[in-house]
Amino acid sequence: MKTADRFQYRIYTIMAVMCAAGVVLLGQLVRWQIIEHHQFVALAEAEHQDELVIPPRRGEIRDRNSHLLAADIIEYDLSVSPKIISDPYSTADRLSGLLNVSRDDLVKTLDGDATWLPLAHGLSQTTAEKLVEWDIVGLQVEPRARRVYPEGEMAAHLLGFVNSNGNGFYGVEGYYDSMLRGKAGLRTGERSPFGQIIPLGISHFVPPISGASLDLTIDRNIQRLIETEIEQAVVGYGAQRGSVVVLNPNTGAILGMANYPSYDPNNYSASNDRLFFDPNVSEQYEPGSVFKIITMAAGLDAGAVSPGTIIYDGGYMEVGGRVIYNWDRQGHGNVDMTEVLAKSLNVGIAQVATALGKDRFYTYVKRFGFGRLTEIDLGSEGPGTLKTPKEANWYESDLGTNSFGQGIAVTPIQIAVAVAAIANDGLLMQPHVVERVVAGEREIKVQPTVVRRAVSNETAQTLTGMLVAALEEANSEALLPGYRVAGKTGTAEIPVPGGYHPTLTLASFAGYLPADDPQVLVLVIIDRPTSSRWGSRTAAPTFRRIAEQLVVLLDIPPDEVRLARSE
Amino acid sequence: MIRRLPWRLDSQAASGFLLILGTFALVGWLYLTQASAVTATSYRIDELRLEIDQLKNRNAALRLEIAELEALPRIEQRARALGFQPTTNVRYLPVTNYPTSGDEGIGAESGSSYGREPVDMYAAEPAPSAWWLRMLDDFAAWLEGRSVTGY
Repeated sequence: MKTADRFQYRIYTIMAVMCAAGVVLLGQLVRWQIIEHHQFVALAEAEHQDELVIPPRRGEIRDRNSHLLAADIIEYDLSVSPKIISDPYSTADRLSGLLNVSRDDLVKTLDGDATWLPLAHGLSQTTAEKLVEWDIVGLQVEPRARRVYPEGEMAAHLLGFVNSNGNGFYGVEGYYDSMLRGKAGLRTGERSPFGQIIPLGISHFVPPISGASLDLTIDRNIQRLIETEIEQAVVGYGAQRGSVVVLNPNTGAILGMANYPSYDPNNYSASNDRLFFDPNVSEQYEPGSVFKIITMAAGLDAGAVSPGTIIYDGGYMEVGGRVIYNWDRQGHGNVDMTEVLAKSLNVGIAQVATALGKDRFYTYVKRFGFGRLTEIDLGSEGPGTLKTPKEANWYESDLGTNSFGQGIAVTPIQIAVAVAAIANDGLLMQPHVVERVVAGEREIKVQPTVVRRAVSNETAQTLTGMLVAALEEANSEALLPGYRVAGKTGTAEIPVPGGYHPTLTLASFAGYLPADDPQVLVLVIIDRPTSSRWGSRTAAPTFRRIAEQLVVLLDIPPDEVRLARSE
Repeated sequence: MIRRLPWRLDSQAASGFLLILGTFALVGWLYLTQASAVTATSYRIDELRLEIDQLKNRNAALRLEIAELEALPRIEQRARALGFQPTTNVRYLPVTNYPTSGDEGIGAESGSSYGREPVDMYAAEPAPSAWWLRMLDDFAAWLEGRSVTGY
C-alpha cells in the first residue's frame, strides 16, 4: 500500500471511530433526553420534593352492644442521633426526668459516636408533646399505632391480632384486614433546605381515610360466660382443651365462640403460635354421635324411616365387610328411632344410613354443608374432610361408620351450623360474626343469609321432638329445668396412626332451646377428658351450666311462662 | 420659537420613573403581604391539623381507657369486692295480667314483662303521697334514734 493510501485509510478509520463514538453519544443523549426523560425529571424533582405518607387509623371492633373490643392507640418512639447532639449532659438531665431513665445511662448513649439509636418506645402523647416542645436537635419522635384489646384474652381467637407492621392476622382482624386498615394519606410539597415543606411551593394533601369499624354479633357477656365455663370444664374434667360455639339458629349470628387454652392478643408474641388458629373454624375432628342428628334427619326427610320405625338391634352389624358395634357392645332388641337417638345406638343409625343408600346419604351430608367451607367471616377456616363414593379411597364400610360420625372430619362451626338448620326448620344459615360495618357516614347492616334448605320444615320439627324426647328418656344431664331442650351427646374416639386411641375421647354436646322456638344453639366440645370419657358426663353438664346462664342473659323465660304469655 | 426647559423634562421623567417605581413597590408590597399571609395561614393550618390529630389521639386513648375500666374481668373483680355474688338461681314469676310490651303503661315502657293484661298493682290501695312517706320515714328514724337523711 502506498503512503498516501495508508494515510487516507487511517483518516477513514479515525473518522469511522469518531462517527461511531458520535453515534453512541447521540444515542445516549436521545436515551437521556427523550426516552428516559420523565425518569430523570422525577429524580430531579424528588431532590426538592418532600413526600409524607400519613398512616390511616385502623377501624375499631365492638361487640353487639358497642363495647370496645379492639382499637388503636397512638404511641411514640424516641430515637437519637448522638453525633449531632450538641450537649449530651444537659440533654440527659432533661430526658432522665421525663423518661424515668438513669442520667448516667443516658449520658453513655448520648455521648457516643453512633449515627442513630432507639432511645424509648411506647411513650405517651403528653411525653411526646413535651419532647417536641423542647425541640432538641438530634432527637426524633415518631408516632406509631398499637392495637389494644381492652378485654385482654376475651375472644382472642375470634378477634385475631395485628402485628407491629399493622397487618391483621386470624379471626376478624385477618378476614377484614383490608376493610379495617383504611387508606393512607399523602402530603407532597417542595422542600426547603432544612427539610420542611415550603408553604408557598406547590403542595398537595390527600387526607388518610380511616378504616371501617365493625360491630360484631358477639355479646361480650355471653363470651365471658362461655370462656369461664369452658375453662372450668377443661380443668375440672382433666381435659386438654375445649371449645364452645353459641349461635342464633334463626340468623346464623354467632353470639359467642370460645376456646381454652387461649392467648392474649395484646401480647401475642409471648404465646405459642399454634394457639393462634381458632379450633372452632380451623381444626377438624371426628364428631361422633352428634352426627347421628344429621343421619336421622336425612333418613326422615328421604322417607327411609319415620319416628315410629322399629328396627332390630342385635348389638352389631356388618357394613361393607366391617362390623359395627354399639358403644356398650350390647344388643337392644327392637327399638324405635327415638330410642336409637336416646341410647345412641351405632347399629340403629347405621341401619338408617344403609336404608337411605350411599347416594342419598352423602347428598344430605353435603346439603348440611359438610366437606366445604361454611364461609363464616373469620380467617383460616377449614373445610373438614368428607370422603364420598366418587372418591377412590371411599369404601362401602364408610357408609356405616360415617353415619355415627366416625371416619368423617368436621369443624365445630360446621356441626353447629348443621344442627342449627334443624333448629331453624330445616334452613341452613350462613354463620357470621359481623353485624354492622360503619365506614364514615355509611353504615352497612349484614343481613342473615339462607344457604339452602337442608331438610323440610316437617322433618326438622319432627326431629326436634325426637331429640327432646331422647334427652328426656335418657335423663340427660343437659336438661334444664323449666325448658325443653333438644340435643345430642357425642363421644368420639380419637384417630391415631393405625386406628383409634384405646381410651382417649372427644366429648361433645350440641343442643338448642327452647325446643318449640329455638333462640340459641350451644355446641360444647371437650377434648380428651380424663375424669370421664363420655360426652353425657362432661359436655352435657357443661352445656346445662352454660344454658342456665344464657337464658338469663338472653332473657328467655321458662317455657311455662313464655307459652302462657303467647296464649 | 418655544423651547422646553430641560429641568421640566427631567421632572416629568423623574415623575414617571417614580410612578413606575411606586407601582412596582405597591405590587411588591401586595405580593409580600399576600405571601406572608398565605405562609402564616399555611402554618396555622398545619398547626390545626396537628391539633386535630392530637385531639383525635387523646379521644381514642380516653375511649380505650374507659373500655379497659369497663372490662368484664375488672367489673367482676370490683363487684365481688363489694360483696356481690353471681346469680345462680333465677326464677321467673308469672304475673297474671302483667302489662306486656305491646300494651300502654308501665310494662310498655320497660318492655320486660311477660304477662298478658295490664294490671294496676296499687288499684286496691291508692298510692300515698311522697311527703307522707317521707314523714313516716323521718318519724321512724326519730324513733330509732337515727339521723334523718334527706331525699
